[in-house]
Amino acid sequence: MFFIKASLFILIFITSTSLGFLYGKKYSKRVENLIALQQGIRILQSEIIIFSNPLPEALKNTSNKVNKQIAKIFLIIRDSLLKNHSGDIYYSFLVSEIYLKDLFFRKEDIDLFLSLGKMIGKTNRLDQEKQFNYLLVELETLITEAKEDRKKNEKMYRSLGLLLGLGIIIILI
Amino acid sequence: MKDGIDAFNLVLSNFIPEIRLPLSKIPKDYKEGVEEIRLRVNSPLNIYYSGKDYFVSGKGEVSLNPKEGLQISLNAIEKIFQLTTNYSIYALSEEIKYGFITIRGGHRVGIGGKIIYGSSDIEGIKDISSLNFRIARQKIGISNHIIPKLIDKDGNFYNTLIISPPQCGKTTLLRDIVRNLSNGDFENKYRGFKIGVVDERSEIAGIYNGIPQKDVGIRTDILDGCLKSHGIMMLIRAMSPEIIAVDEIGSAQDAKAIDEALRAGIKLIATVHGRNIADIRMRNGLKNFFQEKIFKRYIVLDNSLGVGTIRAIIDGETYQNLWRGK
Repeated sequence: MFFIKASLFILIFITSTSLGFLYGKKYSKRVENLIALQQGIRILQSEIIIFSNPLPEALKNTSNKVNKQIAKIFLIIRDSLLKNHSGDIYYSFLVSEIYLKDLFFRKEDIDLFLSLGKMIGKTNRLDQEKQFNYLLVELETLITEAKEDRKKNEKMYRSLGLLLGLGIIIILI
Repeated sequence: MKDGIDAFNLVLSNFIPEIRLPLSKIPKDYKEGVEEIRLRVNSPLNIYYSGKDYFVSGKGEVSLNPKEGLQISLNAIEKIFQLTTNYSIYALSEEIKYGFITIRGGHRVGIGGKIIYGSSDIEGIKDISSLNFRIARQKIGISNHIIPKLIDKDGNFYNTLIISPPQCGKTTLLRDIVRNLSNGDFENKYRGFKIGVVDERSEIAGIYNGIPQKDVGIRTDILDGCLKSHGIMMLIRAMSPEIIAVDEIGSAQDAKAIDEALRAGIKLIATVHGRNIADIRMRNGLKNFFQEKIFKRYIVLDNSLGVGTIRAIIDGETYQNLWRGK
């Protein structure tokens, strides 16, 4: 009897703690992915400003230089540009929105990234550089906020999970 | 003829479906011969064929009545411009500054819109309101029968000037002459010449991504997108050409650079806008050439029997017409 009870308590404790960790993880994942996205946008900026590569090629080259999850965003946009032949870059960015939602990004992160689709490729290099710089500054602000969120919430959810598990166990005892 | 349709289809690949579909339905004869496709904001879809303006409806019907043409929206022009530049205006901003870009196949797209001036020069064009797709058709062999008239009995090339009104095929003829002279012809016993082409507007060789889209011969070096006055000097210094080919001469700077080339013993083939010799001989930048009888052959074109009709080949010494063909 004691063995069954002990096992149940351990299971409750592990489940509740894991839930806390999982919930807290979305904050660290958001920071990780925002930093990776920032790196990707910087590479894309170089592809455009320094190498003057056409956008589909620039997106492909960028996807080769970032982590797999972020690479997929650039590949989705590139494939849409080449496949749809619509002449509408923003539309191709919108195609990536569903995937972006799977990467723990918040609405403001997604909106900022999609705004890139409204300006990219449409002006000369000088203007593109200014617009990229503006976007990267905005992204830096979001990363700072995301880090603060992580600091504040990640630990809290982990502790909450742990405490909830202990609480249930105490009640059951 | 298939080449004509291929060129047309290649140009259409830059269009959004709403415009591409009607154009893909126009009759075969038009597809083979269309010289320009013009898109203007809030105006009917327009093609230029056989010296006339036609309008294309949403169903692909061709008419002389503008009211039947498919209306072009600003949004359509913006999207087509994006496709034409491969979503990369930044990569073509230098070309756009000069009002045109060259696309795959060597076709040229003229751009109309608001010009942006910087501190010293044009910085770019924004608010694009019209696009003109000029379909460059290579007509290989059109100069075969006139080459013997451009070479003396010792096998030397005569300085030649092609005189033609706009859209009568002067660049097409120039390109084929360059191809013939560059390749040489053992049967007709003229050797291949080293030729330098200054292709200021990317029309002669139609260079796209560094590769000539037109056949300009095996001994031809090209300076693409380069001012004639700069390019001629660069070729003299670096490429030791026997013949320099340039399109649309006329400015004082061109004349100065050509003079340098002639003094270096280089032969010249050039084109100029005009109806005949009388029309151009007193123009600034050209009259010295006439006074000094620099050009030994004048080829006069018109479109009386279709685009590229050779009306006369005139001897620059005697001003006699050497041409007996139709």
